[in-house]
Amino acid sequence: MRLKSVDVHVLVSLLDHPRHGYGIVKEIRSRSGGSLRLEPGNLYRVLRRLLDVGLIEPSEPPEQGITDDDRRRYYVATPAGRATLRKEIARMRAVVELAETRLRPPVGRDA
Amino acid sequence: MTRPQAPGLGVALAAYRAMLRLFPRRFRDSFGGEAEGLFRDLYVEAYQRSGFSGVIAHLGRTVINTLRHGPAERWALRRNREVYQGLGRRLGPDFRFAWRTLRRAPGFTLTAVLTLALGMGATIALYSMVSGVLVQPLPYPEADRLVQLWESNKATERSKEGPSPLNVRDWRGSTTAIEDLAAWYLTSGTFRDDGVAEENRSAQVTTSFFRVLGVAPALGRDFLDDEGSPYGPLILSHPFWLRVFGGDPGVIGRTMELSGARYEVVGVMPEGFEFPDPGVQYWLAWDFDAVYGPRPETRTWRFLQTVARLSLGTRVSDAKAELSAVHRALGERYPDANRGWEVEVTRLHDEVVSEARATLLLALGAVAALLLLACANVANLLLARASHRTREVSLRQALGAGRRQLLRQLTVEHLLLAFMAGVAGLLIGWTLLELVGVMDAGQIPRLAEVAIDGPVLLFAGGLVVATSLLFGLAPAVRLIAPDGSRSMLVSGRVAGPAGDWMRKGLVAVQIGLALALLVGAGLFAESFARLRTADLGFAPSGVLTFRVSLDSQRIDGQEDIARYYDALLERLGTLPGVVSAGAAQTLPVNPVGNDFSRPYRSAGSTEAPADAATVALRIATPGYFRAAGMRFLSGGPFPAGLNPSEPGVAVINETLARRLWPGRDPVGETLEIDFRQGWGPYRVTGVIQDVMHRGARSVAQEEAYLSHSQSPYLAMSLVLRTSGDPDAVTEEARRTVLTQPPGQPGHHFVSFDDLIADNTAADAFLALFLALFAATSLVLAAAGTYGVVAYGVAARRREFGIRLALGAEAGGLRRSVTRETLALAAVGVAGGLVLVLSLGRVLESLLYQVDAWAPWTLGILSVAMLVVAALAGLLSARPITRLDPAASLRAD
Repeated sequence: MRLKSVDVHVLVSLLDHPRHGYGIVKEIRSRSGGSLRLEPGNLYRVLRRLLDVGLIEPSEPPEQGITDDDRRRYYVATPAGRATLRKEIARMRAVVELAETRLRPPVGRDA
Repeated sequence: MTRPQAPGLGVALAAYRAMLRLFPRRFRDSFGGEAEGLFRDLYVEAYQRSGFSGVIAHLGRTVINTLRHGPAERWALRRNREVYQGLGRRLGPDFRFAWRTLRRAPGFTLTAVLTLALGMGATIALYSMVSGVLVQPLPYPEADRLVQLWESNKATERSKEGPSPLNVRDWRGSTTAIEDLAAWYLTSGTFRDDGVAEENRSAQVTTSFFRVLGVAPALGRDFLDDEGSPYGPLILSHPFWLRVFGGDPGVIGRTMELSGARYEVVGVMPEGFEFPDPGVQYWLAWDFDAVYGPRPETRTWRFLQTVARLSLGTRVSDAKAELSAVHRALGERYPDANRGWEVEVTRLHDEVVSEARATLLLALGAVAALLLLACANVANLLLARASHRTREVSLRQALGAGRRQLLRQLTVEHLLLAFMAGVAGLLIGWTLLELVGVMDAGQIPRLAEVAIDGPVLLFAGGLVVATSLLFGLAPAVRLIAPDGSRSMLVSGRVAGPAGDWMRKGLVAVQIGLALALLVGAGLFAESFARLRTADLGFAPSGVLTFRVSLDSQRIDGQEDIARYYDALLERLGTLPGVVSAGAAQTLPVNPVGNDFSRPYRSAGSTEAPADAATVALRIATPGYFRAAGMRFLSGGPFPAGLNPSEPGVAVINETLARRLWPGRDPVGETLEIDFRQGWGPYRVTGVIQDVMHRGARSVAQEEAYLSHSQSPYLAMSLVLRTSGDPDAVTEEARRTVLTQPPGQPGHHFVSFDDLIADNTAADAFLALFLALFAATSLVLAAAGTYGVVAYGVAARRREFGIRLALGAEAGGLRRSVTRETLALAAVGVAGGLVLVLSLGRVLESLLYQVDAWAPWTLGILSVAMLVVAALAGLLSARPITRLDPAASLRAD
């Protein structure tokens, strides 16, 4: 499955430990310096899709988790999710490297 | 455990919960609660961070987000679930069941299908006409880039005149907005071959003509740029090529005699190419610049037709702006000819279909009303059936059929009905189109291009679905109404109050629509009658008209032209049955002929031609006035046999007389007209009553009739007043013309009455079709009323029985039923009147001397509608008088 860029962000936030919706939104927002805001409708559509294809799964709340709301469900990336993300990252890295080569200023201009 | 709170959160949360309904149910079940939670968290956070401005930003983002992702998720889920396949599997048995149900009630099915098919057929026919004529582009490549160019003069109230040749020449190549430009002039030519001589409609066209349109000849080649100097070669129309040359490809390269000259045939146009009109038999290459270029005075001769192709990406308004700048410069260079004249640019498509637009749209509206009425009618049939079927439905519900399942079953049944009606409707629509085509009803342009094709079939499919929903709505609501399950216990039949008002409402709708159609038909019938009996200023009955187009090659000089027509008219005047004969270069209400105007001024004025008002010139023989039945208000026709060298004479109409000599008798006075040799004096010999040259709707304009012997014309329209049937004289007249040396054939033999009929063809079309639709709608509405009242009477048999047993009179009961029907009809009539009154102004533009709000028409037709409804009520209440109280009480 090809990942959209928002899929990548969500997967990345679910790699280290389980998070609930609000946690994912906050993590992505702080990581992107506030430029990436996910609204509920959008976020849960992404989660629904990733759940459907098995890249993430519901998870037990982490032990130190806040127990404020029983309606909050936690999600975490599955091994398949990690593998897919790894492939996507490799693809992205190739693009990044190519772009960097081409964007580098022409050599031999030190006068 | 406390949840985070912030002001307004409760309301916002409730609103958000409602908005979440945009998402599919499955999504809401899984994530609805979580999404609400997240919404709450973000709300509180936004509030804590930036107060109410943060909250508003959050709400805004959420609304946009939900609007976008809810429907998207619905769509995504739908695709995944392969709903359609599943639906197909479930619908199969439904269709079989629906088919069996409908077959079990053949009377009902046939009535419903026929009723709907009438409405749908008419709608399909009108839709394909509207689509083919008004919507589809003209049959030329990138036809939206084709425009026509005109000259208009606000000061002298001349609008959209064909531009003059010298102006067209100067426009061509002057702006980048126009890729290329072509001009044409419709004329007629005499084709001669092996003793055959026939007069045909033809067009003189610039060599760019076919290139601008983007159509190449099917055989041979297009004109070359340096051809047409000034006339020839020729390109033939497909029908002419088939008829005269038997479709022989060897015709290319042959020469053909046309109006006394020989031209090479270089091409044959493809089948179906008929521009500027279907009558054109051949196109003659023409370099108008070679003809008019050396004559600067022709800059005021505004008569050319033009078609231009806009450059890629140029808008009509841009072209107009650029061309206007060019034209302004021309106005400064040639002020006498061009002052006050502006350029107009219009789409070719609009010009081709302009006159048919209102007619077609109105007919489409009428047809839509008929279809609505048919839907209301069938809805009532279904409602009546639904009450009988309540038992079946309750049984199925009791056996576990869900409401959803029942609804699906009903929908399928209605779809099947509508589909059968759609198939029959296609047949009816096709027949109607053929009829319209055969009758050439309304002389609608592009009718040959109208066909029931893919898009029309698609429309018919949509119509099937839409009508099935429309007529199926009320019955569906009724049949699965919540109280349906109880009905089985009470009785087999239920005429509950809910079903009752639905049925009655639908009857009122039918009566209202029928009244609207009746009023429409009445108005247009009256308008048409007035048009046909309108005083056009002459007496058309019993008059035969035809045209003779002399070859300039076969006649020597102006005097010979006059001599030819004098001799011909004298012979024609002695034919048996002919009372008098005359000729003019153009006839009223006649599309063939050479209709033109020239500037005029009162004697002694120094006005320049560009500033002067114009007068329509008619070149006539002295006998023309009597033959055409025109009425002199003063003076009389000019004398016969005048010489061009003698002082000019003219007969003028009352409008011109009023302009120049208000309140005085103009006979003996002189006016000046800029014609042929510049300004010249013309002495008035008589004043005639105004003639409505372009039909009853036109406004009389200034007219002057000049003596044909003083200004001879090659092509003339002849008028023979007969003592009986003009058609009886046709053959003799045709022979007389052909045997008059040099053997010129006459053409366009037609009675004046037929010319007027052609002129009012669109009105005849509307009057006829509206009458047809109104009659159909009246029958449907009457039948619908009868059915509902009769049903009500049958359902109330028990009640009536009791009342009879208690001493009520049958007549009284019958009267009360009729009264109820009348009340119902009154509601419908009121609605219909509101509809008519709100549409009145739209209709008015198409009516002739008829007020759309004519109280008499409205009153009489409303009363007639009420009478019809009362009769239907009276008839359907008849069973009451035959009711046996005892028997009806014993019945269930």
